[in-house]
Amino acid sequence: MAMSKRILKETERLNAEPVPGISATAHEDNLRYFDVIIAGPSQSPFEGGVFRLELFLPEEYPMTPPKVRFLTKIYHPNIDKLGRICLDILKDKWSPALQIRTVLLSVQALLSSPNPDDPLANDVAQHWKENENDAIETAKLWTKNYAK
Amino acid sequence: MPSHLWPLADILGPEVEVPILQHLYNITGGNINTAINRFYEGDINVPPHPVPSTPSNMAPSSVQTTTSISSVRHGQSTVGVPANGSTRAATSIKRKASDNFFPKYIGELTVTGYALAAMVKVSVGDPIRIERARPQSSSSGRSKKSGGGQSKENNVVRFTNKDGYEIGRLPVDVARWVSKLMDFELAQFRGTIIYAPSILKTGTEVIFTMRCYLTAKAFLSLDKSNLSQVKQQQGVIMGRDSVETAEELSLKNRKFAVNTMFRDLALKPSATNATVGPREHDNDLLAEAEPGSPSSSSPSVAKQDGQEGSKDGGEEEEEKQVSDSELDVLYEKAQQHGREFAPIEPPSTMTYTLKPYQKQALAWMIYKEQLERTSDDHLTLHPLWEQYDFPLEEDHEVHSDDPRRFYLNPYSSEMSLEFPTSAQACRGGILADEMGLGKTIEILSLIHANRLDNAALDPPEEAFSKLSTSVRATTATTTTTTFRPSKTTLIVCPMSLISQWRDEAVRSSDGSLKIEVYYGNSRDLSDVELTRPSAPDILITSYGTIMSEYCRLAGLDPEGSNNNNNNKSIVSTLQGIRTQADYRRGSALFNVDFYRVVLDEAHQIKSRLTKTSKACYAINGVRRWVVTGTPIQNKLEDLFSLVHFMRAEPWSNFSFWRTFITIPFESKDKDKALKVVTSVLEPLVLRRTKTTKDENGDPIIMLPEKSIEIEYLDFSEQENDIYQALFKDGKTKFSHYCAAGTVLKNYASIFQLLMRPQANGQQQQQGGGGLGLKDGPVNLEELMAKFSASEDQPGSNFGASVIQNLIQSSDEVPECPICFEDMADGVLMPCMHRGCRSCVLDYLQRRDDAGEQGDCPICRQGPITEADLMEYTTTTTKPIPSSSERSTIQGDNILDMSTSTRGGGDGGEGSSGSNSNNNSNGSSSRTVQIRRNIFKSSAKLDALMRHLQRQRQEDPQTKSVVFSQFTGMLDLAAAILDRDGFEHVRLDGSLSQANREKCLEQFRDPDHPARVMLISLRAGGVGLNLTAANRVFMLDPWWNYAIESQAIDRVHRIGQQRPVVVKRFIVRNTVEEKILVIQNRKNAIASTLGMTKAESQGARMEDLQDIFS
Repeated sequence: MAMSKRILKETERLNAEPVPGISATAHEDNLRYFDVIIAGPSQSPFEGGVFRLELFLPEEYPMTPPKVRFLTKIYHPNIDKLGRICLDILKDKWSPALQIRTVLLSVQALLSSPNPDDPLANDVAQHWKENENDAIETAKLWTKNYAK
Repeated sequence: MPSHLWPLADILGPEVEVPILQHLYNITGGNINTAINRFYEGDINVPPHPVPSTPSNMAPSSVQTTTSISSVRHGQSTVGVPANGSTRAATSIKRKASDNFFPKYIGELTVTGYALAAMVKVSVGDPIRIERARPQSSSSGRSKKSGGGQSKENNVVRFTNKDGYEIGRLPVDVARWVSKLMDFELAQFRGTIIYAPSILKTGTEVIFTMRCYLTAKAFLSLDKSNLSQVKQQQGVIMGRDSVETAEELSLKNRKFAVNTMFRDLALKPSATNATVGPREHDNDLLAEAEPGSPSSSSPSVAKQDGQEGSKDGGEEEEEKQVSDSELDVLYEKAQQHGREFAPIEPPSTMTYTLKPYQKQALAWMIYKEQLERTSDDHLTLHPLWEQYDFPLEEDHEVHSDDPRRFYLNPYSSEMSLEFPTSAQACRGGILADEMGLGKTIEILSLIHANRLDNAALDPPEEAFSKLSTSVRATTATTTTTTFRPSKTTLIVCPMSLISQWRDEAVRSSDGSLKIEVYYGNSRDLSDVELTRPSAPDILITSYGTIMSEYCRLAGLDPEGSNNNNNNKSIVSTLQGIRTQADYRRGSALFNVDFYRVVLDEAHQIKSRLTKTSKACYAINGVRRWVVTGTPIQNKLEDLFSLVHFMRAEPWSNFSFWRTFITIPFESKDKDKALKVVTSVLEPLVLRRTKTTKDENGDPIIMLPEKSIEIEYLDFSEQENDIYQALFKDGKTKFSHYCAAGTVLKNYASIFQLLMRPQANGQQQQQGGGGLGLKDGPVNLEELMAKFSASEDQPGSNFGASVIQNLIQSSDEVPECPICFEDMADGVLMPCMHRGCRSCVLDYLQRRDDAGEQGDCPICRQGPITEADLMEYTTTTTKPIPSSSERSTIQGDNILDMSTSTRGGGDGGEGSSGSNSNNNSNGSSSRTVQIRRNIFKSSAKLDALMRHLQRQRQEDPQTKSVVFSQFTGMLDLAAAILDRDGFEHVRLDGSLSQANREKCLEQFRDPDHPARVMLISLRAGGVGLNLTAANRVFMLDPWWNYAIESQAIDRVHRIGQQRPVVVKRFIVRNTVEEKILVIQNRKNAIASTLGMTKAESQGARMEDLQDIFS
């Protein structure tokens, strides 16, 4: 299992040089399963929130992308009710040169810049397009209510 | 014709002339019975003597059978036998036998015949005559049903009343041998009815006693009856393939008939050779001679002759194998030998110092050569012969001076009235020390120690007289009398070893030995020179040379199709040539009596039917040595050929060998056969292995350690696809053969099928297209130029810096961005990003599977295909010896970056520090080579290169030998070695002798840059000394591990100073893994003694089915 060496190395490096605002902790009984916490980026509707995610590295990682899902409810056009994330690098734009670190950074960036033109949660995206301010308010409210 | 002659004429046939009939009538007083007997006894040639008691000339008369009996002696046993033995029989008959001696009664038996004629009156006590239904007679059609499987053979024998009227026929089992004896005119039969119904009906039984009489002809030496005919027919024989077969068949028939008669008459020998003991194997002997027995248990001339050239094919190899554990048993005794001899120092003319066990070998060999004929040999019965007493015939007086005894050689069915004396003891033996123990040196020490006195050359009579005392014609002694003795030791070895022998011989000698090579163009030696005192002491030649000279001498086309003339005809041809005194055209090799003949790697002649083997048999010399590490390669019969070459009676008689060894081994009695072989080997063989202990219990030789590791590899997906396709193809063909039930016949072609996937696992297409760069080495300057020319293009700076990095980076290995491992086998993408080869290829493959174009996983620049990848190698070379060499070798295409670093280093940002560091170091310089990825990945070659690279880092002086059975594989390996700057040499079957030598020399030369030798398993498995290397790579497994092991021992042999590391590459989930299993099972199964042939055939099927399962 050559690839497990990569996973160990990644985990090690995430611990040694953590990304600001992100923490990823591997389960002790399953080194492919990570508990992830992302702080809502400042100047975003999610500021102040603490979002919990789960990240799983499939057998073929890094040839296939990790599976990432929000556990905390979030009001975001690219994230649906089940926490699934619409992000190209988690799908067809995955490259084995990407890592857990880069994936989580991308997710953090997605929080800063929602993209309603490529929606996953259609109703949220609709809301965002029609009345962005109102939608941002809702997002802030959800953040306050759920992302503690 | 007078009417009183009619009955005679009816019986004897119309071709017998009236005067003869009349004469017969006269001398027998009208008794038809006697007349016919006289006729068949051949008396009728002497009509001037009307008295019946004067027959003396036993020469066969006009009634000579049409069947050729010219080969009544077995072909294999007659190498070089001249005709002189025959006078013995003729004279002895004259001298000893009284006039009426023949036909001589030897016994009677009771026969139940069946009547065919009705209404013929017979009564008890009537004499009956036994006569042959001639082949041309009308009975041939009817005889079919009696012949069973041999419907073509006419075995019909009828018995008639005294008036010549047919009463009936002999039962088939009796008729089978009686008919043959009558055809050969070896015996006559007379019967007396003891029971018959008063009136015969067709099919009723008639019981009678049948007395058997041997004719004078039975006691003629086979040689005589043959040779005259052979000589007459020479022209014909040479041209026709079938003649030999017919002769061998005829011999077989004779043997069968004679031996069956002896059995049916319950004749028991009154004495046998003490060492051989009484024969218990009547049935084996008969089985061997049984007409129409399956070809596998006959000398199988017809079968093997046709495929003589291809005898080495895998098909035969598998048959009748001797397992390793059986070999251990065989060799066990032979290993005891050396210890019994006190070591003998070689004479001072030998410059080498011998190891103690080598001195023991010398002692043993000197002892073997000194074995002289002991005086009581004359009193000992020849081991092949048995003594019989003539039984007394009722109502028959015995002359006091008639011989009372006679002698039978059941293996040739020869009979003699004279005592056959024991053969001369074999002077020589089999030196079978394991490879690497220094057999060459041992033989050389013998040559130094035991030389022929020059004085003995001048009056050759002395040598002759000793030899000519041997009365009985034995193969060994009599041939030598025709040739002039030489002081030369002839060494025959494979072509590839000629130079090794010559060098060793020269090095071993203080100059007192004259050494010459007889090969290729340097063949200007005449036989006369060889017999002079100035003759070379050692003459080295190759098997090929003697084979071609032999064929030339015998008028054979060495390559031609008429290859089934056996020794007999060739020998007689040789003699024919000699009698013409045509010595000049003849080969020097076959016209002298060498002092000593040595066959090196003598398993070359393991098949007794090849022309090479026959040529070796025909070389003359009393001291005959066989040198081989593996006297038995596969079959016990391998050993026969060696024994036959040595002329070690009685085992050199093929029939004898078959009876006692081959047949028991193949059938039921494996243990017994092994026991017999052990007793054959014991006095003949000296064998020590690397593990043999000396008398103090210490190993006789200390070799450095040898470790053999199997390295399992995985095919890449693409390799696997190709492999599977080929494998399927092979499988289809296999099922086809299975269905047709011809699998075993097609064993060889199935081998080929199997080899294909194995070989093709490697042979993938070359990459094409790409970046506009040519295949092969990439010009680094061009690449740099490309980057610098397009400053604005993103990544170009990066590209330049990557190359800088490659050059300057310390020994620290970068990490692959995909697997995070050290990048052992990195590739460059066109964007100059790097990754492990396997990671990048895996990624590209996945993109491809997903239907997308490949790109760089790091910068997504694309599209990239596998062919666009570049390989790079960085080499840290010590400044001495080869760096200058290398730059010249590399030529233009590859930039030696160690120089351009200094130039380009000025412009490099911030890296100059480390650069100068590097330079100031001074001890090493860095070379970077970048090449296009010529090959798609190949698991084995990757692994090979990985090892070689590491080795080069660790110890650049280490030399490696790479074995493969596929020259195609070697081609690929050569290309990849070229690519990565490994100087190498290559040795395969296509090299001429000169080139081989050059190649071996280069590899041994420590100053030559070549560190790797590519060598084909077949060409290099034998004999070579490759101790310059201490790393071995086996790229593919061979069926029989022994072959691989032998190859490995080219490196792990005497002279090896360092530990030897062997890697065997096996690709998982392929044929190769299964071959490993078979290799193991082979040993396991064959160790179970007593496995029958059918079982072992079953095992072969199982092998194949396993592979295609």
